[in-house]
Amino acid sequence: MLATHFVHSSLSHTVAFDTILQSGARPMYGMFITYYPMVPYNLTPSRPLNREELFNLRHASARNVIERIFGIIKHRFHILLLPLEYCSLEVQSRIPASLAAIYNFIHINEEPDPDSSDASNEDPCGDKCPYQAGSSVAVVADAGGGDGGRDDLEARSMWDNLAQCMWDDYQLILSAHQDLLDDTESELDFDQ
Amino acid sequence: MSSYFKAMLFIFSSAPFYTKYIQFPTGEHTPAKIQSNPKILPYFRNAIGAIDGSHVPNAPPAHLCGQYCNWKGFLSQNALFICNFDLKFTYILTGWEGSATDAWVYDNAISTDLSIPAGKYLLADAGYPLCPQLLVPYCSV
Repeated sequence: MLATHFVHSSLSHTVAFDTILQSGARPMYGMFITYYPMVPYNLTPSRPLNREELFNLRHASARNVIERIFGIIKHRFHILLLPLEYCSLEVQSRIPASLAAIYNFIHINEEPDPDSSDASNEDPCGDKCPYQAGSSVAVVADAGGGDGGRDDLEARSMWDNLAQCMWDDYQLILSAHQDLLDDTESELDFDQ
Repeated sequence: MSSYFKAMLFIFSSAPFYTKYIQFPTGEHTPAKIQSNPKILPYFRNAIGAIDGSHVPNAPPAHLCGQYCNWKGFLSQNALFICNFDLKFTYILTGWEGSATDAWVYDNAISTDLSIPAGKYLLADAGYPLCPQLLVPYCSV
């Protein structure tokens, strides 16, 4: 969005400035006016709406390690992308296993890359996310410590338990965040 | 050339090289990746890895082509991979026909040599059955 109006500056008299209204993603300086970031009507509605969605989100982010490893190994060993003719089925079936062993060997013995140091381990929420929730941890530990029998009911209750714990903690965090926002707004009102 | 390739292939895919570098975790320690992430630590404390199947193209003899044709439309073998959170493979089962489903391959693995420690589980996708050893996402949400 582009808007033009005249500003009488103290620095340069009778000069027309262009003022550009721009998105909140850019820093606010000089002639650019941005809106207030992080207000609810500006956010893309991407928050999970129920415990199932939240569980699937966390589950997917924890599970994406296997999709990454597939990407790495198929990029590194192109033999995995092509059918190997003139070989017996046994030889063909041994190829992925041996390449995985070679991949592990390389992964264990290679020099650590200095450029990629712990960048992925940073938590963007930092200390804003109080994921302490001692009670739910105990519940989850109990749920995970079953006897390992192949009982669908047991699995389902464990699954639901986990999702419910996640959802309860998430609601706590959301309400804490909302309180923070309310405090900030009241401070702003006070300043005015 | 072909015989050397085959010899090296058998060396890499059998003991001692294979068993040294591909080991299934005992699950005594919570993985560092899980511990460092406060969003998933309390919930996935007992997860020891992630499991998925992948189709690796292969060329079977003509009379087996029907079995090796997968749902994507090409000839492949269905390989089951399990990796841990440090990006290392911990279990591989290869050689199943492309028409076999992920759940079938897993069922075969669990009935032969795959043993998941009690109380631990793997993160799986929606193609796997719901059981205490696998944590699958909710369907249709």
